[in-house]
Amino acid sequence: MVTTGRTAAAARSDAGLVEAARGGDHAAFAELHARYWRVVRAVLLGTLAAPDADDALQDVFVTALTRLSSLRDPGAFGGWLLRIARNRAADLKRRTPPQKMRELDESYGTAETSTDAAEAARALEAIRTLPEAYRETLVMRLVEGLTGPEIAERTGMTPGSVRVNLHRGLHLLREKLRVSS
Amino acid sequence: MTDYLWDGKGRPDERIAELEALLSRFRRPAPPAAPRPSSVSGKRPAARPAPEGYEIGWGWYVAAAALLAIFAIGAAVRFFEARRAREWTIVDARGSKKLVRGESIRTAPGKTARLESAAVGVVELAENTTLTLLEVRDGRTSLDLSAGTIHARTTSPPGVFVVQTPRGRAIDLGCEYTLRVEPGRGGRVHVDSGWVELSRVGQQSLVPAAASAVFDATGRLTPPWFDDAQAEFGEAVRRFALPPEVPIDAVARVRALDRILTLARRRDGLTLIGPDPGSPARRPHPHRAPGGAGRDAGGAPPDPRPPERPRASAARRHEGARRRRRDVRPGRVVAARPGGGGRSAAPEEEDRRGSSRGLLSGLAPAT
Repeated sequence: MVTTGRTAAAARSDAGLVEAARGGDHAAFAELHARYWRVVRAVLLGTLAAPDADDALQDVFVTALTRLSSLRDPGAFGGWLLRIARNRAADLKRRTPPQKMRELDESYGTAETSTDAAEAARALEAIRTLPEAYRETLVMRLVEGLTGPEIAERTGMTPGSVRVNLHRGLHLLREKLRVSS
Repeated sequence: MTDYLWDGKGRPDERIAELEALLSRFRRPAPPAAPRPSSVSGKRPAARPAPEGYEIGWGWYVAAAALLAIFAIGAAVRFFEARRAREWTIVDARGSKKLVRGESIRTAPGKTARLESAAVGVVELAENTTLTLLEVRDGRTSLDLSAGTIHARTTSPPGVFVVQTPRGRAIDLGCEYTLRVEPGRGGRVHVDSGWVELSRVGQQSLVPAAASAVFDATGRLTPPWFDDAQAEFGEAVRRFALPPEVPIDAVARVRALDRILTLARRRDGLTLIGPDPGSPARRPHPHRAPGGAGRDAGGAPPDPRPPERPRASAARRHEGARRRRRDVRPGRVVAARPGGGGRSAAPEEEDRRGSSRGLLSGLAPAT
């Protein structure tokens, strides 16, 4: 089978992958999953405890797969997916008592000292108190290890916005950590 | 310039690196497996559907359908309530019954009845009264009073409640009034409050509160006169507007007019010149028959001739009429003279020209 350069490019784009996934191409959807699971998890982790975020991560992709045919603009897959994730996180947060979240965070780490685990939980909680734009961007960068350009590409934000969110978010986070310590 | 926070390149910022190391514990060690279509087929999604702007889910269709259903139910309730409000119910000694369109009600001697409508008001029927419901629709309820007496108290907007009689119709302008029809003899309307428009083709009499107007068997109307006017004044008005003789006795009419002018008070200007002298309705249409209440007592047919240009004699008549109207005030009486040259036209001639409601309004020239 001969594939033109243009077709190959389209296949690599979100829109092409969405079209292919709609046609039943599991590999295309797996590619979308690989491309977006970190940002989706970051969005969830900005609100939910880590185990809950992992469960919700799977739910979000199941929902996306089920509803993929109703997505009007395949090129807007990233934004659509993140909105699903935010809705899911908001739903779960309403149902989960806030006290439980900290306990789960502290027990999530395995091979670290309890002091480090407490420090990490405190830092993540401080991030969760930030405005949504800063919170999600910082989790993507500091927890999921994505770079600024990757964050911009996945979320649809401009690189300038991502850079500003990172710097302002970090500034606010340091202030919060200093106050709490 | 390198920025470690931006792209992770360059010399690491210690505090950022420390945070990264601390928070990396929350990083997932291995990527999760992507869900497969076969594993989700028929499975209800756990997450909420995507927001508006991206897709329209079933929830929106259900919400839209519910909204439409609410609107439809509301409209139906409103429609049926409005229809029920327009219904007429007969209430008498035996109970109540709905009066449908085209149905008549007749009261026996010594018996009365009552008609009620939530949208219009109450109509009480005296004995020996025959009333038919002609029309019931939004904005118009029409009854036919062929004989007898009714007393109506309305709450509907002006012009909604109309009672047809064999010789004209009474249009309620928001009021309480009594209407009597005597077959073969005419009838009378007396208004207790508000106004009633008594009209037939080409004629109109606006009757205010505490006033009456009558019509004869041929449908001729009188202008209204007040209850507190002298009885002789009312008789003279009736005699002038509805002369019983055929052919018309011009001398008797002028004599009646003389009595009218003698007995008229300032308040009776309504009878003489109509309730609204400036109204265009009082002005004669050049191609239409003269039609003022009382002034058109002869029931003249429409005049097909185009209006004449004012001539010198007409101008003199106009001047005379103007002077006479000025003179109609308390303490001053001016008697109209039959065949009075340029000052006053004969009543028959005035009949052809008159078009307004008041007795004297026909003295003004056609404009």
